[in-house]
Amino acid sequence: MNKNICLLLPLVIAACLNCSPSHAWTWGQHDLVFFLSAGPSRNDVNPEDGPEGQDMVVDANFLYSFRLDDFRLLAEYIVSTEESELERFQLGWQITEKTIGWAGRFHSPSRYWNQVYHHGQYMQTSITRPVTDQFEDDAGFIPTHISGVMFESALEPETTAGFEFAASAGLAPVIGDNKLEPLDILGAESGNGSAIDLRIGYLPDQLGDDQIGLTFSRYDLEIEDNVHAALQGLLNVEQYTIGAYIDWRWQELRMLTNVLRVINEMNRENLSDTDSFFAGYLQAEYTPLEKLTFFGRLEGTTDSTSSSYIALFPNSITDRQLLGVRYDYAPRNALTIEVGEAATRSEEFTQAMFQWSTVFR
Amino acid sequence: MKIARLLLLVCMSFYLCLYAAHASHQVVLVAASDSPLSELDSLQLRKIYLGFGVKSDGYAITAYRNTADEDLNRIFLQTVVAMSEKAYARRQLFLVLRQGVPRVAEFEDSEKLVAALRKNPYSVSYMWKEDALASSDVKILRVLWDE
Repeated sequence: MNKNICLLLPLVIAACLNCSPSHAWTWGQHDLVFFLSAGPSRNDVNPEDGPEGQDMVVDANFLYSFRLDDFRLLAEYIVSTEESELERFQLGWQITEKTIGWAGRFHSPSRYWNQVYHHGQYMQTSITRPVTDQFEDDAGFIPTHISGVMFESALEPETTAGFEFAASAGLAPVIGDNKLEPLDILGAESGNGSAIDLRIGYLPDQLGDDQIGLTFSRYDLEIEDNVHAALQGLLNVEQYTIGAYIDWRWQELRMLTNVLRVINEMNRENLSDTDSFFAGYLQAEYTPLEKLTFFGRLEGTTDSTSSSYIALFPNSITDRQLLGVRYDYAPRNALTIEVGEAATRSEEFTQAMFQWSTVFR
Repeated sequence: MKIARLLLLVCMSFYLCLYAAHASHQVVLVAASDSPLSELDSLQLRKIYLGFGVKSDGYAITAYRNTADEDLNRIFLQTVVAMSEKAYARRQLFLVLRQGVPRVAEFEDSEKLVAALRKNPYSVSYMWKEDALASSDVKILRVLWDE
């Protein structure tokens, strides 16, 4: 545990004191939602060689929103045993009834899982996130945090089915010491390359959760401090991703899948080359009872051992198979157990996790 | 025999009075008495309670939930948003998480609800018709539910 746990207590108390749903001011409305999760995790691996061996993980996520006519503000701050960071800070404007423009730091709209769950641990069924949507702090090798502008189309509830669009342009993370490092807007420095993201989704019922869609992104990933990049003589990486996702339900069954083609133009001092691979996951969920959900997920990355891009992130999980069960109890509380086999570029290990998650509102 | 008939008649009358009072139960959409809002159709109302932006005279309309009693809450979920409590709560959480839309404010205290409506002329809520008629601070926009 690090010193950030000391920050948790006052923030937890502050959030609990403000646990009524939403507050109506004389001007505008604001809301504070507080997600909390905690539990032990065990990675059967030498801590020096890869992901941390075992730990007690506590995550507190504070989500604040404010709306006054067309203006919106959204801030998401994480305090955990691993980190303390302003994850999202967005200022928004409802341009038309169906279009919202945002400026600030946000989650890449081309990462579907992130667009659905963000840092709301309680809202997602599994404890872990798939390889394509792993956050940079957790050694994710595809950018998830962008700083810039984003436009989102609102839905049209007049019709049953509809399309949803999201596009963004801004600054991408840089390639740092064994991980990607997104722009920290509280201590912003220049040197970040450009980022473009697009997503189009089709919803058969706009008030439902089913969706199918396509994604595209292009990132200029500059090298900041990465020993593997220096060994490769790498100057920067121009990364393209093209993907498709499906999130569908059939009564008590749900399937969630996303496959990406990742193409990296590796610009080196002497010779540039292209490094490409597929990354994706398939998660299946079965909810026989309202409060009980069984789930499993297959994740994979092709050519991970030979990829010179993935070699920049030796601690990144590239493949995993997991099984788990989630039990929802009381209002807004859940217990989840997850076990699986995971692999980084160089080794395989088992994982076991237990988590309690909740949301205060 | 006469007494028995009389008793039966009294009981039937009492039952009919109760039934009549119960049958006149209505849930109405309300706004502050000085609000410029007039009629809102079912789709507009559903959009407001589901977090979509709906405007009147260029001002965004705000909705408040009246959670004073369970029957009122059940009628709201069935007739206005057409969702279960769990589904509606989950949708509201997702709206905050994804789009920064604050959840609909809830009021258990009718006086506080009326005070909130008075503060914002472009706000709406719902209540039993008899409660709306008893308050000079609110006006009825339309009937949402009639037993």
